[in-house]
Amino acid sequence: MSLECEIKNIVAEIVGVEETQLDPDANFMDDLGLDSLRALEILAAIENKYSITINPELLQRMTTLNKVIDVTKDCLNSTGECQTC
Amino acid sequence: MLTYDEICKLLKQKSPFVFVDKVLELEQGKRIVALKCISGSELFPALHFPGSSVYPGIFIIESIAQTVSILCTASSDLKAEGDVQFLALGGIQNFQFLHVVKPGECIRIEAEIIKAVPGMAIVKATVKTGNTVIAKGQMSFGAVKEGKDGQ
Repeated sequence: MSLECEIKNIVAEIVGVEETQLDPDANFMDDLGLDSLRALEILAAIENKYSITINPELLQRMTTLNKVIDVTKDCLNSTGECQTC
Repeated sequence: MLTYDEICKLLKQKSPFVFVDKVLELEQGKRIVALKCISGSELFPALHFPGSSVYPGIFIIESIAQTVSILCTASSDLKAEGDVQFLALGGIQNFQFLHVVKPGECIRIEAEIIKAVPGMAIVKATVKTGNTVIAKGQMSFGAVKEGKDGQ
């Protein structure tokens, strides 16, 4: 399974929708009604899945599925600890 | 270590809705180990279930939530006078109940903060009786100000 598919699976489960229904550019809060706690759960799930550390400040960037994928890729391409990607 | 009386001062909940008896270990901002002993004189044995007393799983969840609340309260500046925040359970993920718990047993609650930012925390919890894991899972919490609608 590709990284994009894995992340989509993780996000869809937390958002509570089928993967096929998850618009990769839908804003978690404005379009999907998520709150900040669900956003933190997504961040923690990504960290756990890929054994990386993501600075919580990056939550501000992780507002859509595609942006979560981008942040994750940036972290994986660095040393595994993403501070200010 | 924290005694029951000290726990009651930290929690917003009041007896008989205090589900933690003792704190055994506490690492500020990181982890906590607490104890809750289940007694036959509590309300639930007669009701859940008559003739076959089982400590309700939802009470185990509440024990964990209160344990985490103690950890967060003891680890932050929220104890300041006039503070109006309390910790609310925001979500339960991948939680499993593996064994029943009966009156006469004590549950040992071990909670570790996985991720925390101001006002929110995600926690991994394991509950044991003796060396047997009876429940485990992940839970998320958010700080709520009194008077707000909880969002």
